[in-house]
Amino acid sequence: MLGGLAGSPVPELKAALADTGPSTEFPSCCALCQVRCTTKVEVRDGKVVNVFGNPENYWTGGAMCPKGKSLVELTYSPHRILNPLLRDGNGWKRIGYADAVQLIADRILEVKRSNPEDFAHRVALFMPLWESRESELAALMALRIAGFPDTCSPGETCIASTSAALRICLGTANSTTNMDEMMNSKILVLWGLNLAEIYPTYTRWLLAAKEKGVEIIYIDPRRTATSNLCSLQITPRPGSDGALALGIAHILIKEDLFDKEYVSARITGFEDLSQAVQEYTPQKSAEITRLPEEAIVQLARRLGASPRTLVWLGGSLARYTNGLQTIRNIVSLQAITNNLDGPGKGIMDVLGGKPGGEEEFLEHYTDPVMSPRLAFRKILYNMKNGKVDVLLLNSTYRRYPDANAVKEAISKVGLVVCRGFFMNEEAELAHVIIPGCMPFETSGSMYGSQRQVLWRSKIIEKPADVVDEFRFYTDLGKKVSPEKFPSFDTPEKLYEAFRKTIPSWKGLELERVKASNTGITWPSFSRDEPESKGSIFKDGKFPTPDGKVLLNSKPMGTIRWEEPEGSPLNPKSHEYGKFPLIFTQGKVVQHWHHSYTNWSSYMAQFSEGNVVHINPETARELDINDGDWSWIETKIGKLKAKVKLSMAILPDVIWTPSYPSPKSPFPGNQGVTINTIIPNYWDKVSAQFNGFGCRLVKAS
Amino acid sequence: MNKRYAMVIDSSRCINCLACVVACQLTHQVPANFKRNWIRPGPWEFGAGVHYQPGNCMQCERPTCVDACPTGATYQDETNGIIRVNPKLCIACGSCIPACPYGARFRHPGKRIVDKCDFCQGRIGKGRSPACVETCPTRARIFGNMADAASEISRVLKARPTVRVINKKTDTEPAIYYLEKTSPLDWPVEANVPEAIRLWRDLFNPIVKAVVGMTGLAVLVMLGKQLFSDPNSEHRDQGHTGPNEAKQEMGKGPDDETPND
Repeated sequence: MLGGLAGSPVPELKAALADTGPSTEFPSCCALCQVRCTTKVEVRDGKVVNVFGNPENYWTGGAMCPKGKSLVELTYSPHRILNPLLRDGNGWKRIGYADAVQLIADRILEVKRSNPEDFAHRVALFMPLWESRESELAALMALRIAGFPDTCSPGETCIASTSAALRICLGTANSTTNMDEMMNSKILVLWGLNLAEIYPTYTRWLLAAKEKGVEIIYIDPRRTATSNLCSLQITPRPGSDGALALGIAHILIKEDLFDKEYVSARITGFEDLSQAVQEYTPQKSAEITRLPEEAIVQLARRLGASPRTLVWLGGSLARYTNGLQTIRNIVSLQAITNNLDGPGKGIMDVLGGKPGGEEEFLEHYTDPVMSPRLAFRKILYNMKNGKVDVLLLNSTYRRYPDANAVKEAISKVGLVVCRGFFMNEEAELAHVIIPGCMPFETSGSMYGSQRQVLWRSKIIEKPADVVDEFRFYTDLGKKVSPEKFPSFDTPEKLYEAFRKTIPSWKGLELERVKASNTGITWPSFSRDEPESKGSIFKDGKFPTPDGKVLLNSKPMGTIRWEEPEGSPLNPKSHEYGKFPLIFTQGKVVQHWHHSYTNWSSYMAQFSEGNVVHINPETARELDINDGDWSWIETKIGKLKAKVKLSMAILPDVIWTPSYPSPKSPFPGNQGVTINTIIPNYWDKVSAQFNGFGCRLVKAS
Repeated sequence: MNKRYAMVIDSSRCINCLACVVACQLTHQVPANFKRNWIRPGPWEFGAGVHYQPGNCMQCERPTCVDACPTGATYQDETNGIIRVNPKLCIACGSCIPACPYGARFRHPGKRIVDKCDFCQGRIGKGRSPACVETCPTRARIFGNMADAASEISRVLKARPTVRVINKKTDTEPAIYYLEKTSPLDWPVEANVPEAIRLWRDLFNPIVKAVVGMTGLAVLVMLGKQLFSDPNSEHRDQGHTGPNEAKQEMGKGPDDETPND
């Protein structure tokens, strides 16, 4: 057994606060998804024994999902890494924390010394971090002050395309309103958003809206638990949502179902839109989407007749190479029907958007002139060519397409420092492991999808030799930039410095945020102003250069829809004729991506490893039966998955869950990382994870 | 007046998020793969897809698991109707496992008792709801006292038509009511109370109780375990639909009873 690994006893933990009775409840918030359920954590004898939702939370009403509950098990997992480790010729050996930080700092300083003119891109940071905004700020400061600007941002594999399209069209990368505005809508469109599975604790809002008479239209190729809560589901084939939007716009314009006054006053580029939609007749959009013409026409008329429509965008729309265009096309629908600003109207994305001010704050401490930050693919190229010397790996590299190529590139980095909890694939690549703290063991602020800012207080003591992110990056920053690194000793002090520096945070005083059961909505310029909920466009203008919705941005090119790259329906693609099925993947309710929930036995009991869902019709054509093992083959690789026949999947499409991890100790969670067979297709902003061609071959 | 605890489940609200299952397991320190409650997916229906039916011990009025218990460990609490297990009497013989048509009984791997849902006796005693009820994101489960006409559950039962999910041959008169639209209504498994146990119980149970009353149970428990307990035995009929069929490695559990209630 490795030192400090599985088998080591978890050290006795003491209650963090005095006077804890036999069982005491502490307020907290979940560190996993952006719902940020606030919670009540039950502690007995210094040990977290249970966690429930905080019933006073406005957004969740006290609910929780299984992922958040798994943190109790994960905190005391026998698989947790409990000591800093250093790889040597014989494997892992324990190293003292101070020595580990010194080793990393020395290497970073050495990189600067050896490459005085050209060091900026030789050290990179993998985002996101796990703990809090403060730990993330500390990490960014540690590197940027030392002159290293590069971060591998999760956005590039998430919804950066959505944020970018919203920023171009509307001047904001955030959701334009809050979720509770659905209660004022006539129609709510969940466009590619499987809310019941992604954000289960929000689903009570759908039920409430439905009871109030709001029509909920769900657009998703796959039938899911969300389908049961909606009035109508439309199932366009994967990757065709942008064409559906243009088809709807075609009918709205042709049948005069749009708001002319609003269009002339508030939109730039309507002519380009009218021009573009001409060819998207019901017949053409039906052909592309594989929907009946009538369904598209009826949907358009319903949307045209609705006085107030709110659209909530799912993350998957951004995970096609046509993501930017798709989002713009959907924004166009909301724009021409006057559904962007006002009660019950708007467009929301699945993350909601990060509260602002981070860059502004960092600029106070970093030199203004720096090398431009590189995007992931450039950093990947540098790693591959041995031009990256130190990589601080805080989160998974498996989130990228062609994950094996990323692994290979990282293996060429001189020093890989892994900040993690378990002996996962990232730890396997590391030279040094500094084990991290679980959420109950640290303090810091977090933000949620409703732009709410929350504070999570430390509840229990961490195991002796694990190290919280804030401390690690503060210690590293002080060592590599002793003169310049600011001295924030605690997350609380950094939070307050941030709040006092950034005007839009002024009202978010620490004590106020700590006392809140839901979190306080950003921005808040003063604690006396009412919380800024509802539409963010308050003054009849959009924060774009001309104050109008911009539909014909030049850098985005003409308004259009294109087949996703690698689509089996694209005659120019490599996949055409060879890989006839459309690949789709998705998150499941019990897993937080493919990360640490894989170390929970409670989550494993619901999991099935690599499984592939296909329509019985597809199975018949392929002569594959329910329960058979089959190979999912793509342009770059294959993996074995158990076939499950499901009417929820469209014919000629496959769906497979994204969580499996080869290192998980529990059979249900084990499997091949599916991104190892995802080909490298990117739009200008982010990577594609769906919509390319694959085939299914019965395994012997 | 005695209480009568029951649950109304609106399965049309269930999103199969499984939070109720994990909430229960954490609260009662039940290891993964053993379950006091469950979510049962219904069949695919054209135009309607799959709906989900949450459940847990039905706290039956005619509890076949009580009939099957040779020691009287499983009993109905007369004060509130809950079917409970006295851990001091339970010899983990497992007779109650096939006797329950719902698969709601399972050998707790750490406690050497055959565990079951008790509507979170400890929590409700403190005025809280059962863990599954409190956690449910869509409020699909309503818990309360049917004997109190003013309770939410009484009002729902009065106002809305409900059904009970039962096996056609074995109506155990469950105290879990489903709002009308739930499927399937038929529970596929019959209760199987071993005849030998029925006999044993009728003849000897009074003696067992007397012995316990006088001497404690240590000797008899050991004897009982020898006689009845076989962790490898298969207690189920083929096709049993229940939450506790998975046979996986046994986790280590605590010795005391439901400390997180």
